[in-house]
Amino acid sequence: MLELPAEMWRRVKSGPLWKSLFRHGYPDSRKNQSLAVFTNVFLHLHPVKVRRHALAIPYTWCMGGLSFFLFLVLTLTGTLLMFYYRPTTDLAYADIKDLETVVVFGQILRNMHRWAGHGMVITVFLHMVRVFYTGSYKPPREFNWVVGTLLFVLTLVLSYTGYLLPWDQLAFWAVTVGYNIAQAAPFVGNEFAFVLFGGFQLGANALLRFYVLHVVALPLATGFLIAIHFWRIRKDGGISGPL
Amino acid sequence: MTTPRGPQPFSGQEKRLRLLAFVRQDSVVRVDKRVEDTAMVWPHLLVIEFIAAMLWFIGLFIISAAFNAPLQDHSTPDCTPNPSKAPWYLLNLQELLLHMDKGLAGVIVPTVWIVFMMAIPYIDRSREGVGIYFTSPNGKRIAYFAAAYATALTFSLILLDKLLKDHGYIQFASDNFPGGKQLFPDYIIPITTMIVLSAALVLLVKIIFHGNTREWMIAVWTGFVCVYLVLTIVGTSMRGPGMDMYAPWALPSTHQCFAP
Amino acid sequence: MIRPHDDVTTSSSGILGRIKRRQLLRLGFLGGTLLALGEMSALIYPFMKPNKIVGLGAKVPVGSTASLMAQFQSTQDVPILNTLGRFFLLHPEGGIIAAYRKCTHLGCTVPYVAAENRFHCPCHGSLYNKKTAVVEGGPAPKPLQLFHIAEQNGTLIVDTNPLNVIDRQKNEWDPSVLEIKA
Repeated sequence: MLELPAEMWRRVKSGPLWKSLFRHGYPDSRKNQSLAVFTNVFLHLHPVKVRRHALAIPYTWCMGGLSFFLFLVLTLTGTLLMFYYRPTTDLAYADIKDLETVVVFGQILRNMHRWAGHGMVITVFLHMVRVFYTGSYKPPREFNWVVGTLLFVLTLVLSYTGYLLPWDQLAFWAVTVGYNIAQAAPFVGNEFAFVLFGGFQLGANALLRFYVLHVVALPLATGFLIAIHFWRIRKDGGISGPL
Repeated sequence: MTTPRGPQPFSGQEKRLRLLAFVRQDSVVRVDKRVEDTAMVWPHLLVIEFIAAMLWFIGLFIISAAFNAPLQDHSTPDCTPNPSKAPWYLLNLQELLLHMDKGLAGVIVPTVWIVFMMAIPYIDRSREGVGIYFTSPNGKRIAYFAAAYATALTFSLILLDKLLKDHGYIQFASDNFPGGKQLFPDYIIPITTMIVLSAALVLLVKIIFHGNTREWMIAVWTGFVCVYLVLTIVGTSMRGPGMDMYAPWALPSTHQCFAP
Repeated sequence: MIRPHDDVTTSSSGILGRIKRRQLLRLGFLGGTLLALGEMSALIYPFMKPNKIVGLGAKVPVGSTASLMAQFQSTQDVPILNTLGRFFLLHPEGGIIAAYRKCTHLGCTVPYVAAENRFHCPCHGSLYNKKTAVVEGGPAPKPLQLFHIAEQNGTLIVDTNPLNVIDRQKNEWDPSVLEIKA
């Protein structure tokens, strides 16, 4: 009964399409496990082998990895939300309302985007705390700590720019608090706030600017820094551990 | 019993695997590790990553199904909700600016802290204790000490500020202090407090625990984490209308909107 | 073909002589790249700075002095709200002023409460006078700020730039701030 599908599966696996995708057998031997990791573009972020102590969950609590995971979730849900959202003062709020009431699965996607955003702030912070207490910023990983600090700031700014987009009272006045703080910067405050928010108070300019920053500029910058961050983990000797 | 594949150490033989670090050789101690200290990424690490990601995805899905993201009325500059609060992860700054000048609390203090944070690995350059939480039992004691120190002091300072302001401190300052109600209350006193208390923490750690650079750095970092958390908690759950202080269980709801 | 640099061929006098050819090229590449990056960065700031301002910050026409005075006459000096420009037109003795409706205490939007016949900030209860916007109670440290008003071809134009206001420090009505007399 199962001979026919088994035969078809065998043919697929020995056919040219499969062989063009995978250049190794199933990863059940050391050789194939190594090949699986370093011939796969997604898996090759990892080395082939890691130090055994790094596998202990209480060492990292997976916080760095989960931050990246949430970044991916946010990219996916955010892209979906963009299909229904228009960043203008008279449409934005109605579009969010439509997402919640008219669009199928709109509410849950918006919820996921919101909670994952909050979650990412938490995981990035906890990741930093872990990295500090395990002394993982020490040479040769100094510069990666600097990159990580920038990523923490970017995470906060990403979350903050997204906060304005629903254009409801909560968003408007929370971001107004930020506007007033930016204005209070010494010497350049008024000018800086005016240029960044595009006006003397929040309006159409601020909404559009925050939208562009939130969906294009900041995710690009974050992705760029994440790439450097990961690359340097590998180049600085992998995950930290006792000497 | 089958022997595992791949290179195996002989008993008594010091076969070592060198992990490469692409940095200048004199700046890094060469990392030698025994072969048996490593594990294959496939399957050992990938299975952990997979399970972690799945658990979080399920958790996120459940939370998103259970709790809706907040959405209030359409925004209008005509009515200010009372209090207007920033998102929770910035409420620590908003809390801070109740106690000092706006520009100092909202811009200068965070900028200085972030620059200091980036400088940490260039100040603490020893490689002692990498990969070990708190480096040593002494480090752990220092962390507990700094946590207690920072938490208690931050709470007391917030309460002290409230107490003083309730008893006409601003009026007193503008009548008696040089520079009126700005120079001392908004600048000199907060700046001095922050610098003196941080320096005192470092000194205490050096005297009581004979701390080295790594150890006072643990104290400063722990202090930061605790101050950050305390400010966030106070800002989120203890500030009601007018940013006045309330007990978390007696927090009045936000006064939403007023006709123009 | 790239040949190794030969020290003997270069003259060694003056700054140009001391800079080796290869260093000069290197500096050129570096300078060119920095120049290009600098140009792109310098372009961003003026590009992002908005020139066309709607609402707060714009110059808002509010009609002629006569029509405004007529309106004040018929409503017993109830302040005239301009939502877009975020100000109230008030009628103190002898003229018209435009009060920025941002509480001088902590920046809340101040509404006019008809039942109390004055401005009452909802945030901390600051009270302002209906005609002059000076403080009548509450924590506000000074009167509401005033926008400059100019008359152009019979129409009053309110300059709502919040960085260029009449900032009264004393809490009393001073007729010298009047720009429009009527």
